[in-house]
Amino acid sequence: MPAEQSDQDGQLQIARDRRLARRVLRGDQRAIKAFCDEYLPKLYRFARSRLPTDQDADDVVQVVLTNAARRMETYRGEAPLLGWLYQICRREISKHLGAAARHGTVVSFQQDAATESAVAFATAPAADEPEAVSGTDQFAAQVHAALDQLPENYARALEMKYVDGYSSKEIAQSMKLADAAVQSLLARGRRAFRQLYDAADFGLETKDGDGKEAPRRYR
Amino acid sequence: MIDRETPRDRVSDVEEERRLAGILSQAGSRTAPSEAQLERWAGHFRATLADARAEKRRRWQIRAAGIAASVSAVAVVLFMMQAPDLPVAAGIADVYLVFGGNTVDGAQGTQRSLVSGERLNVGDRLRTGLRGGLGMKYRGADVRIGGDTEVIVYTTRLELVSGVVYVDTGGSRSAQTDVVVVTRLGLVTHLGTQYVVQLDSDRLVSAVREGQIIFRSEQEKRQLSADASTAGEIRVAEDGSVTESRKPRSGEQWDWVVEISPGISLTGRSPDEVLTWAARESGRTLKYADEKTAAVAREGRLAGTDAKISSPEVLSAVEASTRLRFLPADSGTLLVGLRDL
Repeated sequence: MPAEQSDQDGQLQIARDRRLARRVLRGDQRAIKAFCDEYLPKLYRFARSRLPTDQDADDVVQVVLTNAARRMETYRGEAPLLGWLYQICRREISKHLGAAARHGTVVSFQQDAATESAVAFATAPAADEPEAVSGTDQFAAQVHAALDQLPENYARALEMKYVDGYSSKEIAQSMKLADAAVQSLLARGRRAFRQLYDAADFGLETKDGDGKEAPRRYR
Repeated sequence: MIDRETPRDRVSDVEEERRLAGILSQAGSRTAPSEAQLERWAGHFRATLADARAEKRRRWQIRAAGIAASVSAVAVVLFMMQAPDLPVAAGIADVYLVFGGNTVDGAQGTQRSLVSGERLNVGDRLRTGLRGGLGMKYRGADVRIGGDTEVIVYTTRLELVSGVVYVDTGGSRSAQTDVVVVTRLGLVTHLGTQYVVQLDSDRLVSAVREGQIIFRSEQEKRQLSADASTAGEIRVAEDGSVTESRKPRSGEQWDWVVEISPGISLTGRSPDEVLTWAARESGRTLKYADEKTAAVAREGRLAGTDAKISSPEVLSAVEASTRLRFLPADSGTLLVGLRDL
């Protein structure tokens, strides 16, 4: 994807986020629904991939939403809303893990790679934060994180096509779009995904056992 | 907008598609929260937004009042050389009793131990210890929070995350004293009452032993009343199904409430006054065996210290210091007679 177009897409996304935040602040119920539909699953996945249990993720998402609702007016629209929410979420994860460690509820995390990486992640300075550390789960978490950064219709179309195995026609039916529009959506989705993937320093050039090209795990 | 591709783009897209297919299929589907979680979070977000907006409006009103007060002050200073005090933002609940280990997470992210006499602010999250509990005055009502309970205090509602809450509005109902308890399974409000709301991991139980309560969820709206001898109880299962039943007005469900009582001072009060209070505290109706007993209870005056005592202590004190005694009766009645001289 040409850098210029990517930049334009990014600016459009930010402008859209700014409008959405303003409408949410005004109490516009449709905007609130759109906000919840788009961001709650993403926040959950972000928290869940960094916390040991579903309950922990649930608690953190709730706190993040409390903070986001109270501080929405401080969102200036200088970066995507998702990044702003992730920033709040990172802080809450760090606090949550810190509190759990103080109360002794985080046990033997040295033997639990996911939790260990979550603790390492949560306590690392923002500039040093890798989005994932190692392992199959972390690879999946990285791919999902990249999908979550795409506009939801891109991510959904890609997932339906390449994970669930739907044809373009079936996706068109499900998303109530014309077949040509789905083709275009998939092409844009692939480009955007690829760019995010590259930016995250994923390897794309290795081959799997069948000789097909498959991703290299995140180092 | 239709994305127009060149033949060269198509070739590279085919290549890219193969790679992406491998990546995405290996990663699998994104995990998704349950519908119930999404619904609960969305409800929480909406409610917090509404509170934040209400709070903002209130701050503006205070600021406007402050400006108005300042303008007035200029005029007043000319005459009195003294400016009036500006309004100060106040807390929304006053804690009168605390026992066991309780903490509060402030809206600003600070955590502290909760002490008696503390004033709570919007968004404070209370967590009572396993054997803890607290009582507070909130919107003119007496609210008691049982052990192992988590509650978030908002301007117009209490959000019960888990555990048990008791509300006594003293029989009054107005816009200022409406106390709404919100849970993930629905909300409970009242029409002047004593009620309890308990949220467990798999159900919500709410009971009313005076007045009426209203339960509302997305699917249900129920109104429930207490009568002279029984409490109304409503149970809401995780799937939203609701059942109603009649229960005694006292018992295990209510016993903990007495332990977090604000208490009453005996000095200068009539036995009738303190017995009426003690009976209400325990969900019973005060009855006298005869007119003579009632007259003794109304006309007498109690003496003692100004210390506030609980309802069981009130009964002991009255029995020890007057001619009144307690007669056997059903569980919903506090029956009082006269001791023979």
